Amino acid sequence: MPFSAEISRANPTCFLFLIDQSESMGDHIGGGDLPMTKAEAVADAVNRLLSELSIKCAKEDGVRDYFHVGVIGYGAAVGPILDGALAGRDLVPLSEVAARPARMEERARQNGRHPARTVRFPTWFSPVAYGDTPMCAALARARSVLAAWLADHPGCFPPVVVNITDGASTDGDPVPVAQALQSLTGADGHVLLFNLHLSSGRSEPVVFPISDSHLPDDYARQLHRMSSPLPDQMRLAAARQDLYLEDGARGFAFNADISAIVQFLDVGTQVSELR
Amino acid sequence: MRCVVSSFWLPRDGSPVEHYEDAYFPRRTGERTAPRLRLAVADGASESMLSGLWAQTLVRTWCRSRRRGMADVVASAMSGWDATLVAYRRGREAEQRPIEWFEQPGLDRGAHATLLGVELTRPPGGEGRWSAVSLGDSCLFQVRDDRLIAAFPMTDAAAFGNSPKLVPSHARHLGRVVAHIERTEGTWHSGDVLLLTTDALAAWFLSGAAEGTSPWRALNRIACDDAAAFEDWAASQRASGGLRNDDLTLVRVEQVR
Repeated sequence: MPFSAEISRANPTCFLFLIDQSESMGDHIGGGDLPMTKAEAVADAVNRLLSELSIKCAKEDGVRDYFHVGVIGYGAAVGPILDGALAGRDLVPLSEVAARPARMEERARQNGRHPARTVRFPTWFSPVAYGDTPMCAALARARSVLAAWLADHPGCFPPVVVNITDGASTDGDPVPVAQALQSLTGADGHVLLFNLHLSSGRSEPVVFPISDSHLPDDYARQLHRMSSPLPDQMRLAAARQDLYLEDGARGFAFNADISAIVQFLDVGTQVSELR
Repeated sequence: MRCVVSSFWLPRDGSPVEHYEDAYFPRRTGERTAPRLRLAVADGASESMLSGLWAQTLVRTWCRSRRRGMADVVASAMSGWDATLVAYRRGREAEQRPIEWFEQPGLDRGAHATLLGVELTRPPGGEGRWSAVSLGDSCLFQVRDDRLIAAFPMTDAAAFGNSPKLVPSHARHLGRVVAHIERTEGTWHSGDVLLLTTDALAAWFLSGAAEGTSPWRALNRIACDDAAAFEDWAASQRASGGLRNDDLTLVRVEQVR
């Protein structure tokens, strides 16, 4: 049965993020209502996800390498965008990600009516908004990185690629390149491609839809078509977190947070508070 | 009451023994003669810091707290946890390995584990009785005359998931723990076998029982203290896909005739 491989240190899987760094990512999100650009919001969300993944896999003896992680940017150039000691690397074991943030920022976090307290916020890369949208080149780069990964890890739970973008590819039709990426297959199934589409407008968020009928434009519909259906095991894991998705739901989100997918991968007994 | 206690444990395949996060008590195996005996197994949550240590704390506290109920036992274990954490931090500092940014949220959130506590009693001249308390999916099975006559708290292999109920180490959650405790009891006769297991073995057991394969026979064939036989048996079951790759714990008690 595909998508059933155990995720363990002996048999890790990987997450590869593809991040649109084109000029339009410098526009403010939410139709300009929020004081943050799309590039800043995406960098924040992915840095937070790397941080949460590290915390999820932390044990007394360090962070366990259930996952290897990479972040590829596409804009003026296409390539890995982790900063600092991890610069230039396509995929990095999670323990190294945790040990080597590029920066440790101090941020104020509001806590209800209590005074804000300072929390440490690690970051591994910074927002950039400059250049075109070479999505085809980014998907092709992901294909070559993951072909090498699958050669070394043929029995792994299939790698998950998360592409985050706000618009149309400027270097050709991304659909066939996306299909080529999804056709990479290991013993446990094919590579999963999930897409997060951000718009500058005030459109309603859409998460994991089956059909594209509620999507507002052709770019969103194209990204929806390029997105892999969620495997049954991930839908079951989502249901355990009270998110019920029908058969055929795709790994696609429009103007929404897609970080929940990290929680859909089973690495052992999860902690949910008693209610 | 005379009984023979055996226990078996293994970390998940591919993990070193230090990563074993189940716990069981008593640690001493062999024949026992006593009017009252407490046993326990617990399963520390993978997504939780220090959960193996918390599981050990829970089973020890249950077994050493004669006559106290589960709520008191959990409250007692929780009350000592802050001191355990202070000692842990000191130890890390002494090793020049201060707590890292990615560990702090897990330590703040506390440790989590399932707990199954069992008590056996037999008043002089009276009938043998057992009682069990549970939070989570660690299980007790009672086998008599080659038949499964009790399963607690899980009765269906399909009901196991990766987010069981867990006992948290934070004392502020005690009220919710108390509300979720499950209890049952029964009688036991000479020749009965009680099996206490954590989830992977329990799911295998219930699945076999439903299919009519009498899974207790395989477990009863493993001689007391024969860890190698248990390891061989687990390896073959894991290889066939019948037994999920997870930490394994089995405590077996047989009442001697």
